[in-house]
Amino acid sequence: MEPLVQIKNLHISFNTYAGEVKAVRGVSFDIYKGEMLGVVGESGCGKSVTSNAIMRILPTPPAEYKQGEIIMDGKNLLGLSESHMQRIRGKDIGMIFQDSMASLNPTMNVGSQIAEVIRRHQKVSSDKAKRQAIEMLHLVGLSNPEKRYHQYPHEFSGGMRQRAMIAIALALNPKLLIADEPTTALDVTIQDQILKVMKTLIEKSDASVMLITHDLGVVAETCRRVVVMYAGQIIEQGAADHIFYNAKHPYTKGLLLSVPSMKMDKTKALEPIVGSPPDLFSPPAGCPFYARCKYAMKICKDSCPVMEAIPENDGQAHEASCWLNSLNYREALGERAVTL
Amino acid sequence: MIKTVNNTESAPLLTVNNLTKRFAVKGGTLTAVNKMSFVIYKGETLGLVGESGCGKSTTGRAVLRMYDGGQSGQIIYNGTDLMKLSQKEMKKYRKEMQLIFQDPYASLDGRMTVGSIIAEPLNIHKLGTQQERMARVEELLNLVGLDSEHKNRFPHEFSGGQRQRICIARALAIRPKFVVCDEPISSLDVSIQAQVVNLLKELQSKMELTYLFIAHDLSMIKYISDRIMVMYLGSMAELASSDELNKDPLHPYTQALLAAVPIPDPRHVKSREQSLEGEIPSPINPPSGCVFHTRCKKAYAECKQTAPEWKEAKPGHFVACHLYN
Repeated sequence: MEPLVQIKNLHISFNTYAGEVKAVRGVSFDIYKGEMLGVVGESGCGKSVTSNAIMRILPTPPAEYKQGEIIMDGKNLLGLSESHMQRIRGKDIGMIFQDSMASLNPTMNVGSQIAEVIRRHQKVSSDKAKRQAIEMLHLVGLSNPEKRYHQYPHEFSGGMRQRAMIAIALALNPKLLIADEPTTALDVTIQDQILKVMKTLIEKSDASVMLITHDLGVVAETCRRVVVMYAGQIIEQGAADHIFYNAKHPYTKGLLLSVPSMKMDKTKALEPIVGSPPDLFSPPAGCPFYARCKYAMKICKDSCPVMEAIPENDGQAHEASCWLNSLNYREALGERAVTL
Repeated sequence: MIKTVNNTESAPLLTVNNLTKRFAVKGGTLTAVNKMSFVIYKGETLGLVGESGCGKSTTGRAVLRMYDGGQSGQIIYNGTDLMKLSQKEMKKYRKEMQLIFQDPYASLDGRMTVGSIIAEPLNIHKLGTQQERMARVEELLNLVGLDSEHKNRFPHEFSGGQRQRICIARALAIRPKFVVCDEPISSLDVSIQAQVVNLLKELQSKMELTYLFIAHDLSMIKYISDRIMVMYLGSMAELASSDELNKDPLHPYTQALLAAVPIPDPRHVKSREQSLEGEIPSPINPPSGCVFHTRCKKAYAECKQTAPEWKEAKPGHFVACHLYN
């Protein structure tokens, strides 16, 4: 598979009065062409900062791109001028946000907001843009699109607004769609509908999707590959099957155990991850998960593990950063291998 | 910390009959809760699920008589009909009932210290001396897994999960018997949700609490509840024990709701048969007959005309659907 976007050693900080928040600390991953990639992690782990960096919509200051590259079509997006970026946003990369009410313009009817994207990037008449916008509203499953075109965001329900957002994001057939918690604010029934719409439209258009969520169920249902983030770093990534059946990092395992499965025995207590994520003003020198990890060892406190490949039978890449899996550490122990 | 309540043997703590709550809105009346009748047994957790706007929270608040008017029906708590009491007389009962809110950011006063937040219910109900109250605050902080030193801090110094612990401490300060938990975990991260749920379960067995647990997360509500009630557009659709409801959901709405839950297993193949089309209709102008007929795949002529009766389809398993006549 060919990568569409390559993120290489990305470091992003926010300069605040209280000091520097190191929100993203050395994140590297690829988004392949035509794939649905899930990015999971708790709030504050840097998922949204990473995706906003791809779109280059972080306000600078306070944000600062300290290091790293985001390569798309042979260009480093972090090095482009703002006007160049404007040509990419909407056309090559579309984005859907969690809070649809805050992301749509309340003073403009929904249809015009879709037509605006089209007119901004393509030389078409306003009539044609309107027709295309209505077609988009139809594609995302809104009934009576001609009427909906003239309605305002407040006249839409949450699910309908999220459909309108998808229409805007996909109006120009972008190569990459970033969906940042697109269904978090919705009911399960509506979430189901929205994910279905997203999936069908993506399959038709061959675009890649980066789906950011904290819901492991949503990831399992939609994504083939998963990146798990914690405290500004990627701690594990691999095929969905690897992550759900052969998780290697204790944090990933903890996440999977924190959700009650529908079949779970009720008399058993849930196994939460104790404590809370580290403060990113002064991230720990060792493994960021050290303080919450049941399996923490001495080495975890002092030095941060690096990403290492985990052998898998299906030939797909799976890697995790944990001393427990680290070959180096096993060697240091002299074959007294520690396995989870 | 694991509790086994046999509902058939347990006495009802709260019996709700024909509870209706109407709001006057522009363009008519909105019936948020329509003739709900149910029982909450001592020591159990009754889960309440449904889509947003179906009246879950209104039910929770109406049961606590938090509304001034527009409410009818009976709420019998320990033999007393709360609906017949004046607000002044209600105060005595409020001591036994508390509410935990969804948003731990909005429900704590940012200008009060954590200590004074937790002590406030004690002050209102004039329980104990100043010293006893402070001692109780420290005890509560420890109970919910926080440090007694935290009483001098302000809410902004805490994370979402810790704030929810503070809310729980406040709700439990006056030793209530009945707590309405209104989506207490939905704004928290997955790893923190499990912590709070475990805490709520532990406190329930320690303090013999009865919960009305409102949520839209079906997997979590299945885990925490003894019985589950499903609501749709202000009406009750189905009520059964948690295991029974998951094993054999009868109402097409419950079936669709369960089918929509994303399963954290990439090898799970989802059946698309039961997925629900459309959205919940406006409660200002609800559909005729069965309120669910507009979205129901099994609806037939009768569903449009008459509202289904609430009946016991199986022992302890109630449903309002014409399919089970």
